[in-house]
Amino acid sequence: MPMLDPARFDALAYVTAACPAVGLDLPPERLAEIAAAFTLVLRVGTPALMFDVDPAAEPAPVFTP
Amino acid sequence: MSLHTLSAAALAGKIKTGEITARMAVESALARIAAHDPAVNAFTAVVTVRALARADAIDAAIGRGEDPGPLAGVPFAAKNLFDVQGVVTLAGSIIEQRRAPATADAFGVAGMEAAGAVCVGCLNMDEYAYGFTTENSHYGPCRNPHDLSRIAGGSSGGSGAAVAAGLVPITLGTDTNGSIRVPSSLNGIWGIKPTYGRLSRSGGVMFVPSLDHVGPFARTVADLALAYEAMQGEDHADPGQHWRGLAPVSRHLEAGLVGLRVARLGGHFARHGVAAAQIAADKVADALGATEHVEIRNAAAGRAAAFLITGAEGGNQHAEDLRVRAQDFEPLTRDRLLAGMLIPAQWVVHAQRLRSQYRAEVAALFHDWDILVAPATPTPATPIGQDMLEADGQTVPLRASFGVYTQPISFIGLPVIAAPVQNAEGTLPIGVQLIGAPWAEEKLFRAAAHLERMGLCSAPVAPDFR
Repeated sequence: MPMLDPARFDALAYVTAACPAVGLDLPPERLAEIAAAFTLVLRVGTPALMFDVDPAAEPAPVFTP
Repeated sequence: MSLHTLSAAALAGKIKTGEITARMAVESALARIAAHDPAVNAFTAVVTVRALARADAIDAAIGRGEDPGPLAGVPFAAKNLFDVQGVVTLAGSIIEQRRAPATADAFGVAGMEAAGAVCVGCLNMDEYAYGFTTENSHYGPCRNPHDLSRIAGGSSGGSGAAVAAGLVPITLGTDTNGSIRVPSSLNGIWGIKPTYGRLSRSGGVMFVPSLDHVGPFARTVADLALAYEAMQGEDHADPGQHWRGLAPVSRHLEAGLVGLRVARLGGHFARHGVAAAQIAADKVADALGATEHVEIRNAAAGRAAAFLITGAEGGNQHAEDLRVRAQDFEPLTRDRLLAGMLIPAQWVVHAQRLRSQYRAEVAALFHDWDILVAPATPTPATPIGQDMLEADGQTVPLRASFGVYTQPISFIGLPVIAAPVQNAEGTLPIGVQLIGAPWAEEKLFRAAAHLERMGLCSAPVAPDFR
């Protein structure tokens, strides 16, 4: 099952809720700009998020080529 | 004698035989920088006193009958995210201005000097290496020596432009998603992004630890090989290094193509770019005897996963400054890093799993092939300030698009040499990627040297700077 459900994802609501979780205190007018940047992340990242990854694939971030 | 058009190898030869001194070579480079860098804006610092002292030490060593190394007296410069002792490592930011000057050279800079080269300065770049254009609003845009109204690429834009303008014969840069290969392409010079883990990255401000590479730029394959060899060495300070011993390549440059199996990458790599990018890749593939097209089926997903990991790790790297002084970041960088801080861990781990799966998929291609050929960038250099790119029937955001061919490759750490094709679109050059299996840089150098001998790929000083 794909990671992302684009129809239900609300970037502004997500950014607004997530900022305090990482210590970001942004004024309301900036939240919309960050939501726009996050929407770009989503757009470019979608081919990865929709990719059906083998659950046995290694998740380690440092790897040997 | 015009020293600025000489290769590094030729320059070192003349210095070692006493035809010229290292001081003459360094003074010549410093004079070129003073005369031409105001137009190009490749340098953010010039270390005159240090460079002249180092040149005098090289001359003294030669006077004593010693061999200072294969790059004796050759001037070089480093992207300003490498530490250079006595200089503040800016990484293209104003935030880093508050830091103290570096107390030691980065591993790669030290390696170059151990081989006899002389560091003359530090080079312009995208802020924190997060960009492909070096349109840096803090230090000004770096301009392309082939057309000063156009970008030099990025993030190692100063490194590309300094070599193309003949200010120095060798520079150092970094490549996370294409930041060596993109400026190599747009400035029409050679560059190598080695296998992930081959060269130490210690001593400097890196960007995305699980994707960062360092490597050199040059105007000849032999110079590129000398610099690549000089930057090698075991370094426990970089936990990402996979030390496998020294891997010399200079001695293989005359070996030719015998035994090399070369294919052209199609699919994703045959779309997205302007005609000049595809034509250049076709010419290089033909010259290397490639008769088959092969595909990396999930290249688009690989690129997308690299994008997610980049945002998340890059945002985390600068999280504290983003919390307390976000206004001091470059506008082209700031909101992308802030958005990166918010990427869910689930997405990042998913991207890492995809990376493992994708790596296995691509590794299978190297059972049948030694070198895969693909364009390096979707377009030659574009005008400074341009936001959108029209290519392959689509209009897309320009800055992100520069990584369309490079990100699916660096994502899994494969070694790549960017080979320059001059006059690919009018007078503008463009680069072609020679992609190898992990740790197979020697084969890439053999192919690159062949292309250079044929005359198809070359990197003379840009015409207006000769």
